[in-house]
Amino acid sequence: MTLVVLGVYLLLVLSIGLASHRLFRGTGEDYALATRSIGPFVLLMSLFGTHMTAFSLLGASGESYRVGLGVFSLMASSSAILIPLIFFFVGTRLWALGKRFGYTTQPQYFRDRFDSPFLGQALFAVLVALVVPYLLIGVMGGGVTLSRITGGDVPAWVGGAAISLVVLTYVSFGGLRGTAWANTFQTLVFMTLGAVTLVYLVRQLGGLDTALTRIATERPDLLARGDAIPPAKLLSYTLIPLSAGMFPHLFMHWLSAKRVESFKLPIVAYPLCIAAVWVPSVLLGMFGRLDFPDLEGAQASSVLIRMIHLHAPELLAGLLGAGVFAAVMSSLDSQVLALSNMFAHDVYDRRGTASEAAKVRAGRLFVIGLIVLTFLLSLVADSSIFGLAVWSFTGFSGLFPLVLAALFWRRATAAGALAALATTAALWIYFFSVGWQVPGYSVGGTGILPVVPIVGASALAMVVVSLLTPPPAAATVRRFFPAARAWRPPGDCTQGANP
Amino acid sequence: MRSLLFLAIVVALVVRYDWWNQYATASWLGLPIALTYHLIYCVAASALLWALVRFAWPARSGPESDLGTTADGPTEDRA
Repeated sequence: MTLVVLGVYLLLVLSIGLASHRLFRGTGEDYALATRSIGPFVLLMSLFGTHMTAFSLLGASGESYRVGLGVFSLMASSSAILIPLIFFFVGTRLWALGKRFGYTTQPQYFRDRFDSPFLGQALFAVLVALVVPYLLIGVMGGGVTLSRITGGDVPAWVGGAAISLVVLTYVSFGGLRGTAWANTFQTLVFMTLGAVTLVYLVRQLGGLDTALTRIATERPDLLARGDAIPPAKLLSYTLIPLSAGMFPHLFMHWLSAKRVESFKLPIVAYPLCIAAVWVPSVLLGMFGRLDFPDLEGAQASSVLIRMIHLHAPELLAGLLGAGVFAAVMSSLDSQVLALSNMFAHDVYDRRGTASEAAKVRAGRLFVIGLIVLTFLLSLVADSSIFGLAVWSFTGFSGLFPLVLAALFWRRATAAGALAALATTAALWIYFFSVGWQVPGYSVGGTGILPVVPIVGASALAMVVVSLLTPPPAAATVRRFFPAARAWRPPGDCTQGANP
Repeated sequence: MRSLLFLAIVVALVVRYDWWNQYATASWLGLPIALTYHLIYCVAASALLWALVRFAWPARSGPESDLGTTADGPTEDRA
């Protein structure tokens, strides 16, 4: 029964994605950005569904299983304030620039802003390298879910293959419109089923008070951050959500907005949506200690699925498993599509001579190659979903000074941007090589995460190298900073304001 | 108003560090305080963001645009 429910769910998502193909206009912009036609609600669901992945359900519950409820303060509350602020200050500006100059991808913007084709290509390479671990989380999450929810009857690779195939199909045919529709449906599914899972499983444990009392008796350390999450670690995690400013999949969804007002709902509702997903995840992860006290390493990532398999009847288990599939696929699709768009526009058509049909075809072929590569990697990867995600986010956070300088500092130069990019890549490779197999790795054992020196060094490289190199051309500055003429004094909000 | 809102953002970023709850395991509103505090924080963040959107919304399109963007017209070609 569980497999039937999951199969029906996958077919439903597939049909939604394929249905959107009927509206496809045959242009590269329509495939990549749905002709910039997305309204507030679908934008919220797309952004949130894209951002919340296996990391938020399986990773967060697994980490809560290990260190307790403090996980919520590490990631959820910092994301709740910083990510909407990034939408407000960065997303709306990029939307406006994308609309004005017809951008489709991040490399296009940075290439133009810094007058450097090489920067665009280098950025593409770095973004692809950083998104692959993020994709891996999704495929691994699908595999873990199917395997555990069937009690090990179905091997993990089948789950990974199933979601890869479904995502591959509807992204290839539906482009961003299909992705946005499927994301909206899937985000509603995983938010609803997350709440249902919490209520159902907590009842099975004797109610919230009973479960909390048992935790207080058996593992009171899980109820507070305590020594497991020292203050330096909590502070370090503030920088992790900055990664949202450079995620190619969020950039793509920003540019798909119909008008700037479409951002209002996502900005206001985002913290509530985060709480709605993370509270069930961290509570259930902690309660998993009551049923499975001895999970080790990467096994902890599956604690939520193990609880569903243990407590829920088959039909409900199928539905709850579908909720996890929804979270996984709603991220995987946008990530794959964003990379496919970059490949089509920034690599395949870097000279601007390819036809629209050829660009769409190239993007589809790239999607296939990327999904196959990720699937193959998932067969050999054995890592904590939370840990893998944090490494990916760390790299993207290191690139945040790039977008900040591009948007707000007219003196920023191409050499400065390249220096920031190279610094991030070099430091990320260094820290990853020494720390990826060390659970809870921090710089020199200080509790400070690698994201802190990486972001700091990246920002420093951007500033110092920009100041040491000739300023950008006046025409470029005028093109990207016309606001100076229209800037109003602080406090004048009668006609809108410029943050 | 904008200055007040930006000050509120700074305050919001600071009070996320509830160091006073580092070892607190007591319950508050039926949940461990480590979770309740940050749950309420999320709701407060939403309220602050509503105020930001309501009172400091940027002019990104139309005649008031700060980035030279037209409201719904065609996009310009990239140079």
